[in-house]
Amino acid sequence: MQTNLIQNYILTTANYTAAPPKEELSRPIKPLPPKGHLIKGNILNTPAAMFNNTVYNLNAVKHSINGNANDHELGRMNDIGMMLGGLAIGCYLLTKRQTPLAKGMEFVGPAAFFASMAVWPKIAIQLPSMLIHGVNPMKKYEDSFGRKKLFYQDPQYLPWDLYSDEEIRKIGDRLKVPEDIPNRREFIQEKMRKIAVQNNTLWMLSAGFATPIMAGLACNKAEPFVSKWINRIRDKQIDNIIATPEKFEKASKKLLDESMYDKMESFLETEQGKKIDKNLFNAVSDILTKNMEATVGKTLREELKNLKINESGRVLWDKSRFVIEEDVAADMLKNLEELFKDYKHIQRLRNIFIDKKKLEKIFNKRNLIGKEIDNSHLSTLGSIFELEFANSVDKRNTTRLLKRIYSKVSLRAKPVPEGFGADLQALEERALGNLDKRAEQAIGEELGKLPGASLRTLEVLPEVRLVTDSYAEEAFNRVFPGSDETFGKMCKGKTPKAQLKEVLFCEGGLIETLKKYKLENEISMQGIRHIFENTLVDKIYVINEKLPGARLSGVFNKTNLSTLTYDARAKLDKLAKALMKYKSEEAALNKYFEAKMSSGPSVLGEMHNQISAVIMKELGFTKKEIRQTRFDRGLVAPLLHKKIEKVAADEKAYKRICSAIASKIKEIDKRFQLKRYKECADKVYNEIGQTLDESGLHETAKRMRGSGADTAGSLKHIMLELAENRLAGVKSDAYKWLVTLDFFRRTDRDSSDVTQACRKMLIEGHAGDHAVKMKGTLKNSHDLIQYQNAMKLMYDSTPDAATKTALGNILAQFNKYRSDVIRHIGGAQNFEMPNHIVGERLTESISSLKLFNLNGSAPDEFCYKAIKSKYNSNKWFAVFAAVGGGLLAITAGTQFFFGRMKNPKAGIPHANSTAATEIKND
Amino acid sequence: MILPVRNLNSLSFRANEAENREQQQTKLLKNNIWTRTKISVDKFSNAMSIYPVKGLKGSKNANFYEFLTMGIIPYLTGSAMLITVFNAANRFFPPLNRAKASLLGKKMAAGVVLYGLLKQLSKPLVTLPVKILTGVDAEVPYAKVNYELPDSINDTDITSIEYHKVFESVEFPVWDLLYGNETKGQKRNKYYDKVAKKLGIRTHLKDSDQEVKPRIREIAVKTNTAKNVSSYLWAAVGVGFAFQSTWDKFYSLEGKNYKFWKKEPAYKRTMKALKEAFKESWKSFYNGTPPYKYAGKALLFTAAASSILGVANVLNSAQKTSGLDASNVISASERYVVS
Repeated sequence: MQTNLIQNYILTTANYTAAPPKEELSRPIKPLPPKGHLIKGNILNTPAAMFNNTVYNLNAVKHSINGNANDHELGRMNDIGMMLGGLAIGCYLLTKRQTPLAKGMEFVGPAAFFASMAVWPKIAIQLPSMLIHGVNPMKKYEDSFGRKKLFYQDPQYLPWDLYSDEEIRKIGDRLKVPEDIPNRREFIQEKMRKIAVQNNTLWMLSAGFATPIMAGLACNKAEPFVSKWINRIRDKQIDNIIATPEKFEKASKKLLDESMYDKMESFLETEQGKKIDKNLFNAVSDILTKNMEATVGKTLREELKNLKINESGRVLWDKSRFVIEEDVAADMLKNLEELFKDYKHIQRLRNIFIDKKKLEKIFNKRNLIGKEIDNSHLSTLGSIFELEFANSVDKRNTTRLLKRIYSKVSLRAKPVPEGFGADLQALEERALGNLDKRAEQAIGEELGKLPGASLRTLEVLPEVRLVTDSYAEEAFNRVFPGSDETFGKMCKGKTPKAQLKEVLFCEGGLIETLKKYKLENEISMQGIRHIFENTLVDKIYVINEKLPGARLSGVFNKTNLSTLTYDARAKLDKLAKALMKYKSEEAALNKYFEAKMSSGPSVLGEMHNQISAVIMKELGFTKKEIRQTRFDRGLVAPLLHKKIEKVAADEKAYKRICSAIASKIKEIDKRFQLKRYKECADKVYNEIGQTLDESGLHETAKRMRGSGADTAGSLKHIMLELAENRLAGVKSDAYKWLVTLDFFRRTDRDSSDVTQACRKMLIEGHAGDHAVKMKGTLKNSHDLIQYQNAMKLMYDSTPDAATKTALGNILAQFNKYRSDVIRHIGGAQNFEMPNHIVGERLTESISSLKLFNLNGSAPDEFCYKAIKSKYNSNKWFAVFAAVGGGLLAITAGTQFFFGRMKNPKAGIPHANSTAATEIKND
Repeated sequence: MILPVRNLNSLSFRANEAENREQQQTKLLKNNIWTRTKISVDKFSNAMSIYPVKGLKGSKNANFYEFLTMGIIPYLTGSAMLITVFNAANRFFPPLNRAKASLLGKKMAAGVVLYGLLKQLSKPLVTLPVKILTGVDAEVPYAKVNYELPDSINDTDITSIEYHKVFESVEFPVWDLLYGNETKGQKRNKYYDKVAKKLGIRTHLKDSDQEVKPRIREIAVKTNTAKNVSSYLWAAVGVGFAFQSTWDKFYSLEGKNYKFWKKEPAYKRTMKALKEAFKESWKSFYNGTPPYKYAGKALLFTAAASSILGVANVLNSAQKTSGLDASNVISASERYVVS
């Protein structure tokens, strides 16, 4: 049942009094006054539109996240999201770019895109509409809640009350709406609405085409400015690398790559104490030579074997030398186990010598630990061990044992058997026959007490077995000297063990056996004793044919004799540290070189482009000329002839071009601190060279910094040469232009053959043409005098006065360049025309690269490259500027067709207007 | 004389007049792929034909809906133009320059396509979990019958169908479309009850719609925010992926064999190379190259985080249920003015 709340209340509150009505309640309640108004602005606050209302945007974000945003704020979130996306794209694509300019442009791109999105409606829609109709279709207003909106966004909700009558009237006059029509305001508003709707539609249709084009054009034009700005900043940063020794150290520390050192350290830590074999050596070499220049790395790898570990001359990896380390016994144990693994009674061997303690004892006894040995020592070592093993068998106890055996057995106690001879010998012999069994038993018993022996009499100690197996023949020979044949007869078809067993320990007795083989007269007590003593004692060691000395050295070969000792590790660590430092310093130098002088985007490249731009500008290449000559270098040369003649004839223009080129040369000198670069390179390479020398790696040190005064081919020399050549190349281009311009000016009125040839040479000649002594250019190229005159005319005559003035204080450098050309190019020898020398014959020539750099780029080729590049960048701009311009024209032109409405006749109102009602009622 | 209005959109030959009348009213649509496709096709075809004509004529029936729908035109033409800007002038360049420029142009084209694709595909990453977890579909569409002004006295075709979303406006959502039709035997607050249950508000509420409406509104706002922001970040991921240098090999070698309808062996090879290039590019994007090893990962995880945090924000609400009992409605200690 539903509770009647009101009823409840009335019942529960007994004393109810109505509150007196307040005064304010008698007034009617009306809505708050509106605060909306049109925003007065101009077309120029477009950029601000992108960034204004930051506070509003932040509030919009807050409300959206909290879930209480309104539609307008949600719309703003979309814009914010779009910009966030653009920023994310810019940031990510920046990481894909190599050069600072390209990185910077990744942000300029999205910014230009968003700016275009805002600017296009302003210039293509709003501006033409304002000019043609006087109506602003992009008018903004602010509503009572402070939200800025486009007035005409929703054509079915237009807050016309924001426009005053006067404003509408003015607009109507501009739209040429007749004054005398009824409901003029409504008509004007309708017209404005129509223009706005049409413009909004046009905006939708054109924005897609226009925005990317505008953005692209903006980026194209912005690039040089961005480039300049970035280069200026970067230049300062780059100069700081080598400005002072402290700054160089700081810069190289930043580029320190400790991964090599860490890798080396962790690797050596795991490998310490292990044998230095090929794998370890290769691993160490790989780490040290990583990212090193190829030939230096190869040399280092080869020389690393000679890395001096200590003063005694030990080197890192000498296959023929070993060091006996402390844990050699453990390794040897392993190898012996391996060697005897198939042997049935290996346990017995373990009791004798395959035992770590026993091995260690031998090593310690002989003071072998820590000794350095080589291959030849191995067999000696083997012998030492053989001896030790032999001695390790309990010789003394064995002798004692045998004596005890003999004492137990009395040879004379036995009765002499009937039938034998009466002499003692015979008796003894007979007794021996009985001795067999008992002796055998006694021996077996006693021997059985030795550790590891078997108690079965027929199974003797392995030592004995081994001995008897192998030395059966020898033993027999000792017992029965000169009886090779006899033994052979006896042993026919039987194993040595079986043979001796038969001989010594047989059922019928020794005598019976001997009788059997008719040897009874040949045995002696001495002999038998000898068997036991000599055989058991002297030969009781296991160095038999199973383990000859050579084999034992084989055991040693497997043993870890050459290991990564602590001092070896320390040495490698030190080397790694030094190389790591060197690499960081080299990286710093390379960074400077790359930014300043590399063939990619660099300061030098920029300087070259500037020289190129200056020359192109001063010579006045038109767009038509560029288009006509871009495909063929041959077309550039005659054009260039004409242009240079023209410039040379006009003193003002001539001085302008010469001083422009001269200022660029001065700038090159200023922007490249070659001296400081050399100093840094010297320091770096000398340091690493010294470290390598100290470690015994002389060849590598030589490859790094050369030896003494001879640095040719070393890495340092290559680095410095490269820098010098790069600068020389660009400067020579500039000087070549100056020489050419000066020549044209000097020989303005001279039209002789030689002059013509020289002009052609200067404009089109390469280093190759100089090498063939102007053959093909000069009419009589074999004429020495003509050649010399030509060269002197070009390079050895006094420069024109205008040239001297224009060059100012680089005149000396200019003259030096010319004299260098005379000296090296003029003085170079040609095999076909060996006497074609200008000046002194050179005793030694400079490299062909230097000659090439000295000659400089041929002006026609220089211009040809510049023309092609200019054409490319112009072409893109031309295509899309035309498209963009066309689009703008069409969009703006369409405005003329907008807002066409038939004006109502004067005095006749619209169907539903109040005036119509009045007329009707009249 | 005003002629009777005919709604040509609701022509039917059914005998049942009641059913006929129903089609003349605004109705809620199901949010499935078929409906979405139908709506897209309708909007696209209108945006390309009818709406620009009406707009350029300055027709009095050109309204805000048509203006917004035409927004697809700059989106598509802008994409095409961006691709053109990077590709059209390449044929004027010398061969070496042309090769390099065309690689960049192809990457740009792929970037534009992936931008649009990922922007659209990333929206369900937010809306779908929200729909499953809260029962509120922020994208549910409805078809509105729009009555226009007649162009002339003889014009009877004055209706058009506009496709809007219930939560298009968060200040004025079309709540009444979400109520059940009691004449058809549906429970009036069926939808709101379902949402209340999913949101963990008490069940068997008398007026679940009053309880749930503020919360739904909040969900709609937060979903729209998350959807907007995350879609742009995912689009950035698409662009980053398209600009990997591992695509160069594919473009230079196989870029011409795109005519898959010819069923040539070259096409199979192209598809294989495309798969390879895709895998390599993904690895390259994810692993990055020094010194920017983490750039790709950062972008990807930012985009993913924006979607996840967006959904988490939707689920987290500061709103408390009223939890009012009948006795709490009017408090005995308060004085009320009844006049």
